[in-house]
Amino acid sequence: MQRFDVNTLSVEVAASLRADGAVIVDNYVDLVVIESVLRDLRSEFDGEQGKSTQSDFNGYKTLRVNSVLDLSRDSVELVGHRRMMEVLDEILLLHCEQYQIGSMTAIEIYPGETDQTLHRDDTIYPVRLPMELQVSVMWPLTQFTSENGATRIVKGSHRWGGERTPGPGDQIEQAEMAPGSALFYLGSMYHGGGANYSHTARAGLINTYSLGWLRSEVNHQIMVPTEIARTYPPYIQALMGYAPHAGMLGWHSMPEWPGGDAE
Amino acid sequence: MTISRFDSATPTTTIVGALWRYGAAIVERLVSSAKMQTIASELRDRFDMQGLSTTNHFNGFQTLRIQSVLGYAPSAAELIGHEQVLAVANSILLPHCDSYRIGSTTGIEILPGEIEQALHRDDSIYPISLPGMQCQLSVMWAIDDFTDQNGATRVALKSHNCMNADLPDLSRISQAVMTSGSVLFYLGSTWHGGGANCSDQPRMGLINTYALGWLRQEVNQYLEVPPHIAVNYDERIRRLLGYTTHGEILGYYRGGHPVWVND
Repeated sequence: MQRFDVNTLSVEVAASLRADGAVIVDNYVDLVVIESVLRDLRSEFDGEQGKSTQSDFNGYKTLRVNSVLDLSRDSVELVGHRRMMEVLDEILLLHCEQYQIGSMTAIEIYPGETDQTLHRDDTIYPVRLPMELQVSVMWPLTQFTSENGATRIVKGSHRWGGERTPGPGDQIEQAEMAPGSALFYLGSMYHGGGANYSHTARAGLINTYSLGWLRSEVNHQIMVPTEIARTYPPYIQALMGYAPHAGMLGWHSMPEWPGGDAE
Repeated sequence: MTISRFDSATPTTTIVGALWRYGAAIVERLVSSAKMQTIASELRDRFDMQGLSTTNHFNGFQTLRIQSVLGYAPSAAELIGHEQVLAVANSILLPHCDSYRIGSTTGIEILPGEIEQALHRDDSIYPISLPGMQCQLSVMWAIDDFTDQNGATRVALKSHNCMNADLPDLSRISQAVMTSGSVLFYLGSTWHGGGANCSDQPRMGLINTYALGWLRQEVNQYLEVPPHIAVNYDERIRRLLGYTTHGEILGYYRGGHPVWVND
């Protein structure tokens, strides 16, 4: 997997992402932000929500917290990271006027967790179109190592047709990286969480961004309370689906939101 | 060439057959005229208060429009969730999604003096067009009688087969003349437009669209018909508004609001 630095031009990062299906950018954000987000999410991980979505697919030694914008103010620095969005622009704006957040999910993998089943994130949409429907961005909140469950990526799988699934002969790479870095991968890329063979938990925040004319994976309008959503800047509100796509699709009459009908 | 006409006893397969063949079909007297008058009375205030707020060259300057009628006209639910309408929608849309949602519900009152609306396709809000797949179905209810004088909807028959760039064959335009309580179905890709009102009476209709459940909603029903209002409707309507996921995941909501329909 190609690695770039914060100083790399976003078009270059995007070109690599398009070609390889995944790319890492190191030193994207300050550690202070990462620590703050992790602190904000701690009680949610440990509370009722953390275990509430455990399943064969999500794992039973993995905690998950959905829709972090209502829980962590500083998560905006990641969810709406400007340089990251420059990369997303290059991929997603080819097929839509504006894109939206699909989901924002914090994931903490505990020692003893096994490999997650390899999957494509874009299968929530029951069509295969000759375009990327979404891009995922994983922010490590702790160090990601090959021992503690760094995300596994199946090389070249974004080029596969709908029928092919990963097999023993396929090459898997792990996204080893430090907090402050980000892993991008295309919605069509086979990937999965790694097994955690270490003694400590591995936390990350995975955000997806999908074409603005698709339904968003998570319903941000009712998931993030209005009084919280109102406090975010317009570009974040737009990412949450408050701005109609191309001024039409997803229209609403609420003048207080971006794109709202002021009349 | 005129629009095929059926009645409430016609089997759904026959109506759907005509819809696929010609792009439009009328079912006469599906509900009583008295029911339509009740709905008209629930819409009246809104028409008078907000009807002119979206006038423009496309919508017309002598046409009143009101959005998202389930927010204030509970009787409209009987039309929007009408069993025979949904049977048609099932047949058109369910081959391409697990569930569909309301795109928009719009009351339209064309006043005397209005000119013909430009012909258009409703599905152009989605920047994809796939042969064999309809993104949406439109259902126009005549609240007043629709006549060739007062602006009955004009439909270009067989235009749903046009390539995007082609303009429809104007010789195939047929007007949806129908009595109050009747309904006109047309495919999302069928070219159509409001008619000129050369009479001395207004012409009121309710146009509802239903779109594949993985596409973004034309009008954000979560904001327009918020949970505290939507909760008063039965499960069928709440599903149509989008208060449930598509498949297991898409549109996910964590939280305990009773408006949400869990499968």
